[in-house]
Amino acid sequence: MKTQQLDRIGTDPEAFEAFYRENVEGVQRFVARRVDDRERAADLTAEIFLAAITAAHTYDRRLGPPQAWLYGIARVTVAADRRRRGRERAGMQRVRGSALIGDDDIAAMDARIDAEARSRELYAAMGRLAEGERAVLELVVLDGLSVSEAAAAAGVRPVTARVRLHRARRKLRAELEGPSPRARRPVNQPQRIEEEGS
Amino acid sequence: MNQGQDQGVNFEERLLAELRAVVEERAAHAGAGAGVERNRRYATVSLHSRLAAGGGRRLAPRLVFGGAAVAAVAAAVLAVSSGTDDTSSAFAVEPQGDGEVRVEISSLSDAEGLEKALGEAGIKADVNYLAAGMACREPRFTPNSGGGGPERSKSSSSVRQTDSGVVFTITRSGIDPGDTLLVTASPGPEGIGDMLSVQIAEGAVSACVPVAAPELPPGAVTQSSGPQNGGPQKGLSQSGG
Repeated sequence: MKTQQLDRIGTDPEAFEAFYRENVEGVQRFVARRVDDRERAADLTAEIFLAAITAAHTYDRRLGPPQAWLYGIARVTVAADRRRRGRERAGMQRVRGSALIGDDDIAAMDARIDAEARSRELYAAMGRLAEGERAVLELVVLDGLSVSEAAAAAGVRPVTARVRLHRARRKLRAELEGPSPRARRPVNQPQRIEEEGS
Repeated sequence: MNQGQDQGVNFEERLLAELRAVVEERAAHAGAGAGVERNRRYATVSLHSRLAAGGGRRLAPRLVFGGAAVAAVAAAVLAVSSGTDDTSSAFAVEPQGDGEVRVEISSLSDAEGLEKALGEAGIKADVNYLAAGMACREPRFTPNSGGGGPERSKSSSSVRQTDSGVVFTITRSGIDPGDTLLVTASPGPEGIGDMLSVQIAEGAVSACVPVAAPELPPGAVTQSSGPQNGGPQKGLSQSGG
């Protein structure tokens, strides 16, 4: 999608449709990396696009590509949902994704969710990180964004993102290792949490 | 599973149809002030968030603008890091190449520093960070009585929340030499979300006199609605939080 079109998706159905078609699979995968419940994933997918529609006029192309912007929205939406779990869903959503699931959709949705099991483990392990650090780590490690894209999505400067990423990785490693008698020791941790490009 | 769904159409297509309907509805209302065109009035949006166990995260911002002609620079709850472990600055003022100035506030400290930085960027500003539950006594300036037609909206600003705080952009050409950017913020009750209001004041501005902030229910929108000499801000309306 051309960036100059993005600010129109809130009021131009054609622009929205192009944006949606380009991103719906990516958004669903994004959600599946965090959520293992089909209905909830469908609701969240709807919420993310609704939020994008509402927030389209705030898109600032200088801050990064549309996809990074959308992932930033997606991340905040999923995180907010995680916090309010166990409670009534806040308010009535204009579009309820789970009501749109047909029998034919189930296999594809479950396959997507199954494929992302490992990502969800990592996502859960990030639970105790500070929010700002977590944001950058999620976007880089789970979603494959570059550091500068993750910075754009999280609304921070690249240098801040880099610092946070570094901290988050260090903390997550410690977390995954569990309590250790030695505060610091050289670690060769799993592939996906290794430092990269920072 | 669900009745009434078209055969041969999958979830993605059904969702698209629903969302398109939302966009079409919005298109029908476009021009009715859904944006955040700047004027010399302001709206204050309270975006109270819930406190998470570990400390003060907020929900996604839900900016709600009421009224048509008066929408302006808005305000948002600021997620203030109580902020010990973050070395980044409390704010950033970044002039962009095109005459805009991007302002990011990540914690409610160093009001003077922000004021100075804005001044260096060519924007006269008055920044006040107040104690919890406090606000500046209104009015602090006399709103433009010219009706503030849309043609005056040469500067626009939207306030959006990011992971690190609140970001807004000011267009320098939209601020006349006599104007002052007023930034006022205070921690919300019980730390559940902080109020940040951004206004562009025309003409003389009186100093901030801290008074107890009016109670704002979640999602409330206050909006000044025209020149009022000495009177309180009118026009409190509530939106479904």
